[in-house]
Amino acid sequence: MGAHVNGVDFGTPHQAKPLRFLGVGDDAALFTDLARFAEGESAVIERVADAAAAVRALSQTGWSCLLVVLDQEPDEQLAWWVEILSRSPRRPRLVALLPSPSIGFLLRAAEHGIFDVLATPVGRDRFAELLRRLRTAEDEVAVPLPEVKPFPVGTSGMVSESPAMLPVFRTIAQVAPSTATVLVMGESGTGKELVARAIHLNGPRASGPFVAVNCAAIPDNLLESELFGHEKGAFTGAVGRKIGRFERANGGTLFLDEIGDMSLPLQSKILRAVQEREIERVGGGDPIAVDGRVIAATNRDLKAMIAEGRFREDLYYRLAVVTIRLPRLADRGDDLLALTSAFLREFGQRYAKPLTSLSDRALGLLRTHDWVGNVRELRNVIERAVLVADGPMLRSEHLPEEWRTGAAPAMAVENDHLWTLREMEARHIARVLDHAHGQIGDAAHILGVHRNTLARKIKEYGL
Amino acid sequence: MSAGFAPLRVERVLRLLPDVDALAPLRAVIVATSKGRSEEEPDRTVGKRYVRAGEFEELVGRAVDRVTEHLRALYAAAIEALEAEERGDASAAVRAFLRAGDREEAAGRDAEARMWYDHARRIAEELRDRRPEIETLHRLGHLDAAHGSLDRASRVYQRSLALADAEGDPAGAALACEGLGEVALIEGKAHGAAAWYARGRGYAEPDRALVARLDLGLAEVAMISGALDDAAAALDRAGRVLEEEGDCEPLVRLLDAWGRLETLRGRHTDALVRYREALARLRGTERSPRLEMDIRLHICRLHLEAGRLPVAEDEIRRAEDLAIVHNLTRQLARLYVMMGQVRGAAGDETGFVFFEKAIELSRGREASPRLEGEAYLEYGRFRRAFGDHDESRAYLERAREIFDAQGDRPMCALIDSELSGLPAWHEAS
Repeated sequence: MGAHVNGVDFGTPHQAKPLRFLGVGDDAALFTDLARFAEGESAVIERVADAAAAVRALSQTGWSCLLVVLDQEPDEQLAWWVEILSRSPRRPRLVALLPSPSIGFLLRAAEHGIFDVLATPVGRDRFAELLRRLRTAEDEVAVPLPEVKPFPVGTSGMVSESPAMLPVFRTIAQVAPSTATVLVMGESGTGKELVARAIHLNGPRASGPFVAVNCAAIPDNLLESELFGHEKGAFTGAVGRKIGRFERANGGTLFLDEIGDMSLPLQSKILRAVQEREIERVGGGDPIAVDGRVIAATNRDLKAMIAEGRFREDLYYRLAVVTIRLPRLADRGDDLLALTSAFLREFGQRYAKPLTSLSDRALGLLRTHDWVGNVRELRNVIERAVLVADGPMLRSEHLPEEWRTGAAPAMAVENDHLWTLREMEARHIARVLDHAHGQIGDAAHILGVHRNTLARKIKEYGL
Repeated sequence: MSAGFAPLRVERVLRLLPDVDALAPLRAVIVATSKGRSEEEPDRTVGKRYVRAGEFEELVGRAVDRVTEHLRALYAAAIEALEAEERGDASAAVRAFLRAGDREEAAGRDAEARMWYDHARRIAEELRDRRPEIETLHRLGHLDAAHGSLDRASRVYQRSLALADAEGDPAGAALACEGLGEVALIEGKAHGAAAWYARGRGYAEPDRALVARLDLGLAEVAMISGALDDAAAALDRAGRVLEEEGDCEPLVRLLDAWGRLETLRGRHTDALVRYREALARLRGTERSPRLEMDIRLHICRLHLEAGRLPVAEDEIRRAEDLAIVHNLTRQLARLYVMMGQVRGAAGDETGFVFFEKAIELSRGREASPRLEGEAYLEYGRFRRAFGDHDESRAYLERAREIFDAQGDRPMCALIDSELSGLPAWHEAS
């Protein structure tokens, strides 16, 4: 199969798997040129005039790459295409075509995970380079999934073969049989609720309820009535009596997640409930006895918050009778692969997609990602990937678009390519601006230049 | 450097700023640009997200630009009305005021839009030519219907129809019939709606584009009646005309209707293609945030019903940003109801916060009792799924009270059947 535009064949058959391009834009001459360059390269280029037609065409699978001509407001158009592609069943790679892209645009395109940016008019060599990179990127090798045996925790399980998790398992085993209050510390997504559940299920109150409250996910004005309940008519919207989570956890365990997010007045009420073992419903006069084990968790440095007057010291010592500190995913070594395997099997089963392997490129992307959201982020990424996967192997194209910057625009990614001073300067300024949350004054201070000089450079590079 | 101070919580900032009209765009920009929703802290509610006061300088510029652009358009309409008055053309003055109202409506300021329309109506009532009044009544009827004031909408459209009949204005009469059909549809009266759309078709006959719009209405009726083949036939008919006419907004509405029909047929992939095409077509025109929000809401619904919960949540988050930036309060409330449903389906009890937020929004400046009722109904179902029968009953009863006050018998009957499925009070407690 050769290259063709709107059904006209331009090339001769080639042994490699044909690359199928969808061009979007009304510049017929540009796509005719590209089709000519693709002759004999085993590539097919089809063109549609506008976004609506492209969306229709994208409903068919088998596209390797989308070539989009950006005209006015390229940033906005780019963001739109990224969103559209994220909804496509098999996401082709996105290549933007525009005249004289600024360095700032190239940097933003890289952040979006755009495969390449071609300046128009496109030369033959530049297009050949794109084809070569696409072929390399399409070549993915299967890595079989390891067998994983999770430690059961209720309906889910804990997966780990890492020594970093041994102290955690040991403390769970020691503390679970008691009724001591426990404070679980660790970054977001490290599995604090799972630890709390494991303590509950292995403790004397296992037959009672496990009631979890994420204090960060509930606005302050609702948190009090959620925790302590309210009487009918206590405030506008209190259409009936409500039993709070403290009462519902009677005979079981109350898990207070992200306790560092709670306001000081509410901290006082929690302290009273933990200390006196009684609560009052909002709008109710009588104290109500409660009898549940309390496990709290936080991703914050509570001691620093105490020093800043943002967390009550007496509450801290009430909660931190026993502390468990969870390691970050990055510190758990090859647990990444074990967890990936477990999540792939779990979601494969849920969405009826029997995935048996992971590609080497996908694994590489997972390994190099900065897992700020830890295991929860990994879980979410794998669930979304399974939803879009369409074969027995999870491939790099199923992972978030912005990760595929293998990928980064051709501006500087080639191994043998040395950046120009301008490119280096633009990249460094972009990095500092990001660090300074876009504050030009702060960024100029860090860079040691006058803010007017920085403003001029930002304009010059289109940052 | 501002980085020396801890960032501010959005709920603190919003509490600090007075709830005055002039600051509304700034509040919207603050919410839309707040940080904290990330892979690190995905469950953080809007109020607990952060903003940095140091970034406000830039935000103020953007908010002021929006206000200036809006005011400029309103002033231009007012000046146009004065010029029309000067040359003795009161009909043109009415139309200028209607344009100002349209502008307010597009900005999500329905109360202000109503003021412009009411003012236009007062002037139009004095005119010998009744067509400006007919146009004004269409705007008011549409606004009433959107807010769930169905009796009032119906009265307004009836008057519009009577005037159009008397004036010999078939297009005006057809549009009034379309409005009456829409009201009947919302009330769940499929036969009534079909009759109005058919009558409208009779008036619209020479105008193919108008006939196509009424066919869209007939397709809606067929869909709620379960006659999916009839719906497809009506959409096909409308599509042939609308494709030829090439007018963007009706075409987008057609694609949206196709999306919903394909969803009902269980063809989810086809539905998504239709929705995506609708969004792609919208992109090429002057943006219509309300229409875009409607389509996005349907996409979210599709993913929710297909059990693709993470994808549904991603779509809802995108739509949330759009709704906040464009001040689309009612759609935002609908979105939060759906978010609560998504969280409920995922077994996350914390999802209750979204119902609370939806109820708060539906009682706000652009109050909508119908929306409040719908939020309470879904809230009741959410609580029932978690076994909180007392709370479920309280919310369902509140929903019933609201629909009863609206005279919506079908909804009351639906809620009664849900209530009868709950254990009695003494069993539940």
